Amino acid sequence: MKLLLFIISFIVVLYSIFAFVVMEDVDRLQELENKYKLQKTIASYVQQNNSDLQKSMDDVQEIKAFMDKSIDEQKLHALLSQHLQNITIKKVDEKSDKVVKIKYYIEAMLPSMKNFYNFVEIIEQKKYPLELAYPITFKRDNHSIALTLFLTLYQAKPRQ
Amino acid sequence: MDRCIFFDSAAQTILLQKPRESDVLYVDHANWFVKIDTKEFNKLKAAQTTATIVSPFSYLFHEYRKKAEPALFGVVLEEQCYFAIFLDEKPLFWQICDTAQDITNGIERFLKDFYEKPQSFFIEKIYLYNCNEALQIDKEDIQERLLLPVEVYEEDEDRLCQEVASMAIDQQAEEPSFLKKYRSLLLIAAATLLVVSGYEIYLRYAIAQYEQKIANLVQKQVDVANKNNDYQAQLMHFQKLKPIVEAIKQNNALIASKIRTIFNLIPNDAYLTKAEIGKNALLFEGVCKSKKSLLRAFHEKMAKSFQKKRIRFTKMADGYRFQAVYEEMIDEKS
Repeated sequence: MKLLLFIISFIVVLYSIFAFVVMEDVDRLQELENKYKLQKTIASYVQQNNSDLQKSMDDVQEIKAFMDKSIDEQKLHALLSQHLQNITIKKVDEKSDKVVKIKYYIEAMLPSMKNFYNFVEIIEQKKYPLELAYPITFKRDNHSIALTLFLTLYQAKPRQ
Repeated sequence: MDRCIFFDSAAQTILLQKPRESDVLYVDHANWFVKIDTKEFNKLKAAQTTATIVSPFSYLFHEYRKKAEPALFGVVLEEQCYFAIFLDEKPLFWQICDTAQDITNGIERFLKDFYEKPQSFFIEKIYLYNCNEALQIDKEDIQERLLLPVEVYEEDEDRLCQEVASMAIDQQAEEPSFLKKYRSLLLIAAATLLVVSGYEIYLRYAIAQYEQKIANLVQKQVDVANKNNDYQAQLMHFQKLKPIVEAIKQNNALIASKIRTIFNLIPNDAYLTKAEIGKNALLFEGVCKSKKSLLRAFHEKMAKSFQKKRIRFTKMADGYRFQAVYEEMIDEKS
């Protein structure tokens, strides 16, 4: 009798443990395994998207190089001084659209035309956001050339 | 008071050492033990549930202690006769015989067997306790045949038994516990529970691991997705700026190239004193030695690109001062 009671109790206890504890955890584990697989797929997609975007970012590096250069009047003066002499800079206009456009009127002296060409080459090579604008005047003055021109400086708008 | 009976069965024996088996039933007399067959005892106990059961050898020992002499002690019960000789608080020799046989013969055989033992000694008296009402012991016959004084006591079994009720077998009897009886079954049950517990621990551990993994993965995903959003925003921003940058590059290159080309057109015998380059209008002033050379090398080539063009020469001592104006550039596409 005792033995029978023991066996029945044991079966009941074992069944209860399985039904209410073990099986619930087995289901939970299965659910988590599926969730993990799904998350891995999503993560892989997000990572792939990240790689594609990084490649696209490489394509716009040149634009980034142009627009990430922060130049003020002082820096502009320093840059012009490397090629021109007796520089005068006057700010004549400022507009803000997709970018900030600041127009300067420049007066300077050129030892030779070579300096002007070098200046334009450096702007291109170093990707300075500067654009030459008409009218450009060269005037012989003794052994130098008096230069006047308009220069537009492009600056990225502060990102919001 | 409960009834007291003797354990009248041959399924008992005397041991001089404590039985080694843990589940055996025995009566402890300090120096010696009566080993009882559990099955037989349980059978008797089942039939006599309230009775106190005592081994007849325990009673004989009790009598030996009372008499304190080297005698043969015997008790005659319904089924069996029990004989024992004690020395130094221990049984020296004992036998169980069937009551159905002749008691005198039984005693004679007992003594014969005893005297064959090396440690035997001369028995001076015989004490017999007869609890079998159906049996009459012939005292004279025994005395004559064995030449020994015999004392026979016709006794009530219950009365004799009560004297030694403290030596009852029941007090020693121990039903093996459930734990002992089904030890292997309990071990299997415990092992099963252990395995289930182990599996449950593994499940909990695996669940915790997966939860951690998923949390890490989600965090990583959020970080990468944030980066992607940032990249997207940057890309959109830079895509908008692309035409501007292209225009800057193109325009600078075009202006530099235009100036270089124009200046290269000036012949060696001429030089410029002023050049004003606008988008649609150009003005050049300078000095030349030969009108013809300037017109051919410079003016004619420039004139091709403009709708309005004029050049004016002023005579100087050694050459000409010139002023050239070009306006309204011809669109190459048209």
